[in-house]
Amino acid sequence: MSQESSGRSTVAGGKKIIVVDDDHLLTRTIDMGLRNRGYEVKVLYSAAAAVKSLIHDKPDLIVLDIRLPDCDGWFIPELMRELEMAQGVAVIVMSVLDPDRNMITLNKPYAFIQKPFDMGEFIHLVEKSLATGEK
Amino acid sequence: MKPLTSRASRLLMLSGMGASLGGLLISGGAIHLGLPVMLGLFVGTMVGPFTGGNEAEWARHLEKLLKGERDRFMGILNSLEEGVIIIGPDRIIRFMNPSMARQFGDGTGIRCHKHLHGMEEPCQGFCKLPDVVKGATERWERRFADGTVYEIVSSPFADSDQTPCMLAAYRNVTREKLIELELMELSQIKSDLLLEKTRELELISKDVDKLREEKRRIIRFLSAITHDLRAPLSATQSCLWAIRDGYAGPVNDEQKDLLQRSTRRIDGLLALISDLLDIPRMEAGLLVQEMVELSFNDVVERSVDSVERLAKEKHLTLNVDLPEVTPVICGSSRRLQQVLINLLSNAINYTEQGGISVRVIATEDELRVEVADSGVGIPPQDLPKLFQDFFRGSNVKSDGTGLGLSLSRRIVEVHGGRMWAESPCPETGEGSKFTFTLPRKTDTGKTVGSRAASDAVSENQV
Repeated sequence: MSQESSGRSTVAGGKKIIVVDDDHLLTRTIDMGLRNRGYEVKVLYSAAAAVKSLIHDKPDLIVLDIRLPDCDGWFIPELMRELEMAQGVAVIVMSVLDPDRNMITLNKPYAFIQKPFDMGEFIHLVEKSLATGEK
Repeated sequence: MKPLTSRASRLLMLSGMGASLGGLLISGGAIHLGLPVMLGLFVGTMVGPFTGGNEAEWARHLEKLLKGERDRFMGILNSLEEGVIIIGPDRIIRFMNPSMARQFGDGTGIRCHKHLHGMEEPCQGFCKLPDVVKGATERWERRFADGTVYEIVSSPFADSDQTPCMLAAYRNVTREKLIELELMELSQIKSDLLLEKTRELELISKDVDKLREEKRRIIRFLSAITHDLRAPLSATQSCLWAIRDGYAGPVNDEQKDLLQRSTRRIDGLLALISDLLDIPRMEAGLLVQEMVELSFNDVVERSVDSVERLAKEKHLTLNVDLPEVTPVICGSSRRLQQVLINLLSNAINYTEQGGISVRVIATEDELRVEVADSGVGIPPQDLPKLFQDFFRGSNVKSDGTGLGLSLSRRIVEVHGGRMWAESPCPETGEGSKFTFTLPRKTDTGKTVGSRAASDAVSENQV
C-alpha cells in the first residue's frame, strides 16, 4: 500500500489511478493488483482527500467506493459534473450494494463494479476505461 | 240628486274596498288574482249597458249591477284557497272567508288572539295589527301550536264603516316548509357524510404516509446492515481471490486449494446474508422493487454463466435449451437470476453423476422454465414442505439456509407466475424437476413481444 506514487516506469505507461475506499484490506489488494500491472496508484481513505488529489495529482482514473467515512461517494462524480472539474478523468464506482440506477444514470460513471470482485475482471475494466479515455 | 249621491258613495266604497284587496293580493303575491281582474270588475260596473230611462230605473239598474258585482266578489272570496280575515282595531274578527273558517273555525265577533291562538291576551312581540292599522303592510310566517305554518300577508284595510282594520291573507305552507326542512336535513346528512368520508380519507392518507415512512426506514436499515455485513467479507474475498490468482506472487497447488476452500466459505456466508436479509424485504413487500422489460434468454445465460464453474468442478453436464427468438418479459432481472441460480445450484449440489438441463418454452401467454437434474431426487414426504421457509431436505447434507426455494417461489409469484417441483423427473424417471412459469402479459394487459432488449441495470440498493 502506498500513499505516494512510486513513479517507476511501467507497461501501463505510467497511468495514474486514485483508489478511494476506507477498507484498508481492499485498497491494499487493489493497490497490489494495479501495481502488478504497472499502474501508478494512490490510495486515499476519504472523499476530501480524493477531491484534493483530483485537483493536484491529475489522475487518469478514479476508483471509488460509494460509502466513504466523510460523505457519500457519489459526491465526487457529482462535484466533477457540476463544477466541470477533472474532466476526462474516468470514474469506476464500486459497492457491496446493488447498483443505484438513478445515481448511475445521473452521474454516468464509466463502470459500476459490485464487490467482491476478481482482480482479473477488475483490471480488465480498468484497462478498458483508460483506453476509452485516450480516444 | 240623492240617488246619484248614493250611487257615487256606493261606487266609491266598493272601489275603495276593491283597490285595497287588489293591493293586498298583489303585495301578497300568493293569491293569483291580480289588479287587472279587479279593475276589470269595476270598469265593467261603471260602463255597464244602461241605455237611458228615468232616475228610478237608473237606480234599479245600478243596484242590480252592484248586486251582481257583490255576488261575483263574494264568490271569489268564497272559492279562494287562501284564508282571508278582517280584524278590527279592537282585535275583534269582523270577517272570515269560508276557507279561513274551515281552517280555524268561524270566529266572527271573537278576539283574534283568543280564536286563532287560544290566548287571553294579545300576542306579545309579534302581533302586526298596531302597525298594519297605521298603514304598514307586513309579510311574515307563523308556526301554530299544531305545527302548521302559515305565510301571512297583512295589509291595512278600511272597512265599510271606514274603521281602519287589518286584512290578512293566510296561506298554508306547512308542506313546502316540510319539504324545505327535509331538503335541509338531506343536505346536512350529505355534508355530514362528506365530512366523515374526508376524515376517513385523511386517516387513510396518514396511514399511507406512516407505511411509506416505515418502508423508507426498513430500506435504510437493510441497506446499512447489508453494507456492514457484506463489506468486510467482500474485501476478504477479493483479497483471497487476488492471492489465489497470483497477484501477490506464485501460489502452489496446496495453497491454491486452501484459498479456494476459504473463498467458498465466504461465498456461502455472503449467500446466507443475502437470504437472511431477503426475509424482511419480503415481509415489507420490497423483494421486487422494479419491473422492467427484459430479454429472458439473457437472464438464463447470465445465471448459467455463474454456476458453470460449479458444474465443471463436479464434471456434470449443463444443457441449455432456449427459444430461438428471446422472449421479452416484464420483471426484475436480478431477482429472476436469483431464482435460476438457486435452482441450478441446488441441482448441482444434489447431483453426483449425469447432468442438469435448463429448458425455456415460450407460449403466447407464458414462459415455462424447467430445471431438471439426474440427482438424488426428493423423498415423497419432503415434496409438500419443499417451499417452506428454512426447510432442509431429509436425504441430503449440504450447506444452505433452507430459504432459497421459498424465496424463489415468492419471487416467481410476485412476477405473477407459479413454481412447483416433481421427483422423479417425469421425463427421465430419476432426479427431480423444478418448473416455474412467468406471464408474458404486462400490467396493462399488453403482450410483451419477442425482441432483443438489453437488460436495465437491476433495481436500487435494496
